[in-house]
Amino acid sequence: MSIATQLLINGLIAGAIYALVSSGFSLIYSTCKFIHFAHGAVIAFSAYTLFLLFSVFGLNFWLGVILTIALTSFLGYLMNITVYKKLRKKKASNIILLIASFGLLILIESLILIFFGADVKTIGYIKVSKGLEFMGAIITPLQIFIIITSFILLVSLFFFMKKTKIGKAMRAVSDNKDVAEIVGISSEKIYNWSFSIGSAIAGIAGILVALEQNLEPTMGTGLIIKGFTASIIGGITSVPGAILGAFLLGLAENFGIWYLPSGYKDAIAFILLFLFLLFRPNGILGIKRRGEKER
Amino acid sequence: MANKTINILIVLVILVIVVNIILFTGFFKGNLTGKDVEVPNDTIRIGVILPLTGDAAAYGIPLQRTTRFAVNEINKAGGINNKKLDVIYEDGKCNPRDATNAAQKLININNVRIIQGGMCSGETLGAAPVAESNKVILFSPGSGSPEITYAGDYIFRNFPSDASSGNKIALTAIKNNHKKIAILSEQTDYAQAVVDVFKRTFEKNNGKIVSEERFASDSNDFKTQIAKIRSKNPDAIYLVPQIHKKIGIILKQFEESRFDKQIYSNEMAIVEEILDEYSRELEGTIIAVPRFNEDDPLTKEIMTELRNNIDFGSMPPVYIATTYDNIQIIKEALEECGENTDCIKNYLYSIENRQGVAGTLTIDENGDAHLEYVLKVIRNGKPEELN
Repeated sequence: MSIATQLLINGLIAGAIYALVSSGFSLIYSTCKFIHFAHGAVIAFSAYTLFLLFSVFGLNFWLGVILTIALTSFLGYLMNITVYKKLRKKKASNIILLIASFGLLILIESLILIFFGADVKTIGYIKVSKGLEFMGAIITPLQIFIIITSFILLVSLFFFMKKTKIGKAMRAVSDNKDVAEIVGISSEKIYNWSFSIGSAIAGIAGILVALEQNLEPTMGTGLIIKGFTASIIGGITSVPGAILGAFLLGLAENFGIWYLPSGYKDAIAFILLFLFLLFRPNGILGIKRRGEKER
Repeated sequence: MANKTINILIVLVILVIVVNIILFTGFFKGNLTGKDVEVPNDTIRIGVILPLTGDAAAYGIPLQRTTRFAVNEINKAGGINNKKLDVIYEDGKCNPRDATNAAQKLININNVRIIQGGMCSGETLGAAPVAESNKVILFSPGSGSPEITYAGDYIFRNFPSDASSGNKIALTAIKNNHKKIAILSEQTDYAQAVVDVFKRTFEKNNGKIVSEERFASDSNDFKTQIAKIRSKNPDAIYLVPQIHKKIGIILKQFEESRFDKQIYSNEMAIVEEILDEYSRELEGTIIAVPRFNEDDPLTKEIMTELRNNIDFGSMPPVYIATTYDNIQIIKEALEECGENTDCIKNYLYSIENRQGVAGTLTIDENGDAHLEYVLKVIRNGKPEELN
């Protein structure tokens, strides 16, 4: 019993982190319709910014957190207007945007490596301590906080998309960009919004990962691969789908390596990705392609 | 339109074929292919393969600084037989694939006859077949995998094989009556080779491996592996990471998961930044490290000089010492033999009781260094020798 609870909790913690990555990623995909891999670098940027503000400059932790989220959001916005917008103006295809996003990912990771070095960095805000016992399983307060934060964030994202003007406009652009423009929604403005909001979520993800794990310049690549896998499983065009996919992935990995040798952890993720690409390329909640839509 | 595209494609294909023919037949010997680019007469060029990017760059960069420092020293003192030593650094990224490419480039494009490296065992094992078939010397200052012993005739190292590390830990665990052991190791050539040696010795002595878990180098979540290990209730755990980065986070998750059994590990546990931050979690940990006596007069003198001039980062000092020695040995070999690799090969095999910064070095018939591993235990945050 306690083992099952422990695996469930481990899966939820991993899932919550993947969900924070995949929700921002699929938010950007659903409106802009290209794969923004540099989202991973945005997460690493957030972790290192907090490290710089809190551990190097000695700023108040919570002030540091707020500044980090703001700066990370701004980085996303900046990426959109300085790189992607310019390329879109030149009528670049989505493949070119994808390659550009790889370029940005490598560029930002390399800059982090130059400025901070490859040494292990930790944000010592929370002292390492023994976890709490909960129904026979062990969990730390930070891990509870991660699960709750991601839950609150994802619910508010859901309401933001359903209820606010910008959220509705985003869904309109995501659904059909041309029609949305006819009714007066500026798609470029909406792209800016989705980059800012998606990157702010990445900022929160970066902070939580930095507290739970260590900081590494390449941390973003690993996270975005998992986030991307989660999005495909859940349906890349659907933000709730990406979140569902993230939890499914976290649980599958952790329950999977209970039965399989633990070296297969990543293999489980990629087999799942492969199966979905083969048999359900639209994911669990993804919308079917236009031609297949029911009339 | 379609015809035009096909025509362009055909032209392209022909172009590629022609270029390849030129490259492989050596039609234009020299400049076009990069092969046989003249090395100036007053220069001897060597190659270095190190991890310069990625996680293992935390290792590679201090070692690059060490090599650079040693080479500058040699050149300032007049070089090798009045020739300047010139070094080309290539990034092996701590994996066999990139190290193979790096070796190909160094040998075929830069025409080097000696390569220092690799650092990670994966790099050395990847570069070894390329070096061996080109009769180029590959001389590693830091790879420990037992497999390197048989990697080839031109493959050497002045770093001890980790076989003795795995053996010593296995025998100590048995002696301490830790008969049920769990293993948590990184999925790299080095760690898996050490684990294999450990398992063989441990099981031969009636020890039982109750759980064998692995993790990918980019993984940061070990909670389920730890839960699995806990459920098997071992007497102790043998922790084998490739680089120190993972030790910190694993120790953190041990503590959080309330896992407090005896830990056995390798030299990565006493990297300064790990020892500083996790001294409480590491208390009582037993590790095997290459014997390195910093109080020896020669070692002390040169290590002080190195410390004053370069930043070691998080690198354990013994690797700095072997890297420094490595360049000195290359220099001595070049002085003796020029760039004749068969002569250099014999010179390296003949090294016996050479006094260096890392200690007394003898190279055996497999090109392996006879340096020893010793056991240490961490008490009050400091490693102490264990008898």
